[in-house]
Amino acid sequence: MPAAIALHNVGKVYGPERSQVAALQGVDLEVAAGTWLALMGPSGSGKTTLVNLIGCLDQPSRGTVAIDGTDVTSFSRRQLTRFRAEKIGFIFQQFHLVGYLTALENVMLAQHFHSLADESEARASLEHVGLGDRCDHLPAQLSGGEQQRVCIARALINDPKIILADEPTGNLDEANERIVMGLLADAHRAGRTIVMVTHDPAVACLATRRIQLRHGRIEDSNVGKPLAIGVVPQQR
Amino acid sequence: MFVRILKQSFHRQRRRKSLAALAVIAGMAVASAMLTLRVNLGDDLSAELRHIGANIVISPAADSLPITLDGVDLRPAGSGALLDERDLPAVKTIFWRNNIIALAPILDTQVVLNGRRVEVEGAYLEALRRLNPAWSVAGAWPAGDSDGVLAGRHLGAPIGSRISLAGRPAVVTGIVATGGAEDGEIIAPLSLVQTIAGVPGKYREALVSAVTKPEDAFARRSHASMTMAEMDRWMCSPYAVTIAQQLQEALPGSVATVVRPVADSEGVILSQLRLLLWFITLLALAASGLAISGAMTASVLERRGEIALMKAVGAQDSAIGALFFSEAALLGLGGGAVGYLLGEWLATAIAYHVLGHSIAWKPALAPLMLVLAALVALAGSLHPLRQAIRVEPAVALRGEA
Repeated sequence: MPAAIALHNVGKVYGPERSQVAALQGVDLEVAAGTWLALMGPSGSGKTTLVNLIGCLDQPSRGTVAIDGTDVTSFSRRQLTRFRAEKIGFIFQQFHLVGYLTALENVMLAQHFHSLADESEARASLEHVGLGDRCDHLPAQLSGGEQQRVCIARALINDPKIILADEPTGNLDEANERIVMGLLADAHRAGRTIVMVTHDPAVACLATRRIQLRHGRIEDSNVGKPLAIGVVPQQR
Repeated sequence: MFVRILKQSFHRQRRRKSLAALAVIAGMAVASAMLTLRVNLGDDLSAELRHIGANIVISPAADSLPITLDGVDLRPAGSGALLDERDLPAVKTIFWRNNIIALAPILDTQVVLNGRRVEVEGAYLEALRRLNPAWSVAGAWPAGDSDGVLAGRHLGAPIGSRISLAGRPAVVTGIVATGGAEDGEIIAPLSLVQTIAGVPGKYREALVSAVTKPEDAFARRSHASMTMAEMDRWMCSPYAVTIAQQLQEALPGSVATVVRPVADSEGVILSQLRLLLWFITLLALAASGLAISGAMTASVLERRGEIALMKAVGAQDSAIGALFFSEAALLGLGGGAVGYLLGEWLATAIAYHVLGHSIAWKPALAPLMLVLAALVALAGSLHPLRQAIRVEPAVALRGEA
């Protein structure tokens, strides 16, 4: 069974040739399907760049990136977009919901660009995240936790194999953090691969594998058991 | 879903979209008004310009050879051969008869009035009046076959006074002031002057005012170099020379000459006016395009996060382009439709208040305006569309959108 994510000798540089900045250097990473991976590291360590490459939002300067057994390194912009829609669901720290669309329509947006919008399916997805009664609310009428749950419903609606979550609890209070992490745990239990960027060691503890990035290199990688949901540390 | 996104985009951004639509409506209204005026007032403007006098003169072919200086016919008015008044009805048979606003046969003679020689000009007075609407007449124009006359203001004959014209009694019904030779002349019905001069049924020349098309290079082409089709086209174009030729053919023994300075001035004025209307139309369309471009650019900048998100969840560049172009097209078409209606009203108001004409609505312009609006929307949204397509979805993940 191929790895869900396989990066070999990946490097990424930004900027003009004379003043290039290396965001990633010689990164080798294999993530088995069904892994919940926590990416940690200080600002500027290359977390975002790594997530962009895994999310097919960017391409490496060197090395190869394979997602679900498919080498996407030489994919065109159009191919990457299609591949992204098929394989990857995104959860953002700042939610990125379309302000003039209701919760239901925000979920249907992902369906629309994937294939066909199905209102009943989108409604079921919102019910799954506990927002069945908030379908017709605009993002501005929802709390931060509710918005993040809409974001999760949107990420899951097309049944992606990989979920990329960038600081999914960064803007949430503890109660909502617990709900969101519970939903991610559900997704993990359903067999999805989750790549989660976090600065929070307690949140990272829920992952089955943790990676520490520093100066564009993987400094530390270890495998751990996730803590049971409901015992997210209260004191941090 | 696409329609829902579009609808919500307009519904939730009512204020921004309304402002953009207003700008489009204003531009399209001006463009529509100018086009309507351009289409409607072609003939009306030409007719309006006919107030500056005759543009064709018919004179006897047997008359003296033309003496022209700078395009002006300098032949003496009272000498030479005469034309037959009985032939005049033939003018009603020419192809461009409806373009003839006035035709005034003229016969002049001299009489002695209060011991001095005075020129008496006989004419169809109604036609003369139509030819010279700028003349100032105190009192009233005489009736066609009456013994009433107009006296030039320098003659000192008061209104109602009775005068003798070579033994024929006449009554001064009005005093004419033109600033020209007429100020020292008597203007009388043609029949009266024919009797005085002893040439019943004759006239010396006819002044014609006709609505014409400004002369272009085709009008000036030699007939010898024209094909049959070109000759037909030439005959079917209301150039002053074409109408003059038809008049000449209809009136035996006559020569019809275009009064060049008048015809040329009309042509220049009409051409410049039409050019001006085109320019204003183009400027208004450009303003509409800029309004759409500005609204769409602002929309793209404001919605960078939304665009990045759509791309992140699988929207291709074409889908983003279709979404924003549809918004621009809706703005353009909506603005175009309202702008057309407003423009028609504006054109009617301009025509009525400025030119004193009423003009008919031109429904045929509506589809043209909608097509123009769509093209303007397309042109105006090209740059913002490029900006939208260039948005990198990675910025959404970074939270910098």
